[in-house]
Amino acid sequence: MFELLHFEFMQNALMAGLLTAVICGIIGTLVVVNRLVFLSGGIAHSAYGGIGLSYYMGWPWLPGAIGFALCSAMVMAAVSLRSRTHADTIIGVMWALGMASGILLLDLTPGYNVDLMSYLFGSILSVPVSELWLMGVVAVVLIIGTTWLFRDLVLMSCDEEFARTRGVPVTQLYFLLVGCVAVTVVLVVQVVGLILVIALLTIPPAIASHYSHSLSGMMVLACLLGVVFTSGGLWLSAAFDLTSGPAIIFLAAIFFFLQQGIDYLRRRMRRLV
Amino acid sequence: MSKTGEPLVVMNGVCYAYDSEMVLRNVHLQINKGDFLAVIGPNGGGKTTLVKLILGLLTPTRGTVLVGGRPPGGKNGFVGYVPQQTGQNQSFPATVLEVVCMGLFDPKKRSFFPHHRENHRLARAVLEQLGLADLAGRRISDLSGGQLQRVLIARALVSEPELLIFDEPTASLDTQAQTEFFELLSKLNADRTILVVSHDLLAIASYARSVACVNHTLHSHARVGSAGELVDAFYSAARDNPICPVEQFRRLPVQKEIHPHV
Repeated sequence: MFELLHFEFMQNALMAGLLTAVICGIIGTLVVVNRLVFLSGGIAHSAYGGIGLSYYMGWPWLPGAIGFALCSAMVMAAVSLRSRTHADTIIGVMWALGMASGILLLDLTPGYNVDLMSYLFGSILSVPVSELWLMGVVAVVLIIGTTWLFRDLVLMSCDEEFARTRGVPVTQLYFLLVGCVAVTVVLVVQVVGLILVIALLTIPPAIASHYSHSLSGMMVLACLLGVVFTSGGLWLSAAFDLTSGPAIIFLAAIFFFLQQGIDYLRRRMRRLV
Repeated sequence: MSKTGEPLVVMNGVCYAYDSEMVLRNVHLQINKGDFLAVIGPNGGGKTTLVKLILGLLTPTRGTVLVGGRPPGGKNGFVGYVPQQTGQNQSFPATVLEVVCMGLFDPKKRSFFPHHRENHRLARAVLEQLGLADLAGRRISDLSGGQLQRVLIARALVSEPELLIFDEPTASLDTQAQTEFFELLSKLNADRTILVVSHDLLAIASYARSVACVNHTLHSHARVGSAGELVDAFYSAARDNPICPVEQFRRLPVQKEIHPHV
């Protein structure tokens, strides 16, 4: 098994998994505690419109996708800041519209056909080194940024209105957070795919939230769980010749339901005693 | 603490409109040091808007608001705020101690290596004062409604505010907890000014020193009448009624028309 680690593509895949785990651990924790899971899904799907637009116009696809995702993210942030309930519908529409316009634009692009599956599930085994560097930079920037603004983020996530009275710039911080979600989602999507991003944004923080007494603890635990899931999933995919993305998701989801089950049993036991 | 009687909050000719809908019209209000002001009025009458103007979360469309002689929101920690519990994300992973420390947040003191020790000491002292010392390490998701309420009060108290503002604090408490809550408020009123938005007219009648009736316009009353008068004031407060219901009630001796049965 370990001889696989001598291959460069395997080392790169492990590195990509590790960086994804760290990025998703930090941003995912903030997404989960601020209940932005649906919004993140909306951003990730509407980014597909940006990919279609880039191919149609003949631009490099990364700036197009990030630009499109950022624009739709800002609209969603503005709407959701005004009214959380109303936002649901608009995000749902933008989610579908982004996906549909992406496919329509690809239809209109002469002589080009992008494989939708690779966008959905990614290809962690063929990540170029340049992408790894980009993800590394994003991870470092995120770690520095969240450390600097950590108390602000804690106050905003815990009680938005109280945070405002203490001088936390909630509106700006919220837009910044949603913007960070947009950038990381697009960067990570091309590596591991849309479905895996949503899975890694939500599952590790959701498990971690049951065992942490602080936001920082939840972030660290979510990162560690992410590392376990990505490397474990990669091992599964190599050992049993499976597609890597779904293998990672499968492992994470099994852990999630195990944790839920154990939690349920523990509560039952406590009630019986 | 400074002496009682000085004005702490002064609102002068304040109007506020959400989009095109005027919520507050020409509001004059003065809250003096040591006061215990209850704000009553129908839903949608502008009570929460009034509170947000004093907190500096909203800027008046017209008129001025001064808190401690300055525009509101400038001096951090001068006003302690206990919001409605519905705004609290109770599944947020934080201990009681950490939540209380949030009341000491200062955006000017951001740092990569924050010092928590002094904040923790202050937070523990407040928890001790409110009889919550045992809960310090507990996660907020494990607290009961009444316990969470006290923790949020501790969070507001930790910055040693002159003015404490409560927005519908007893909405999710049972009768026993409500009584305990108002007992606590009257204790805190010994050295702090209190503003409480509440529908609990019985409690207001026995604990508050003055009442402000908010229904788009504001009428304040230096003394609190009986619970019965308050109830009448509250329920007769019709929208856009130019006369404050409390005054209307006092001015006109109530003549009940008796319709004979035919």
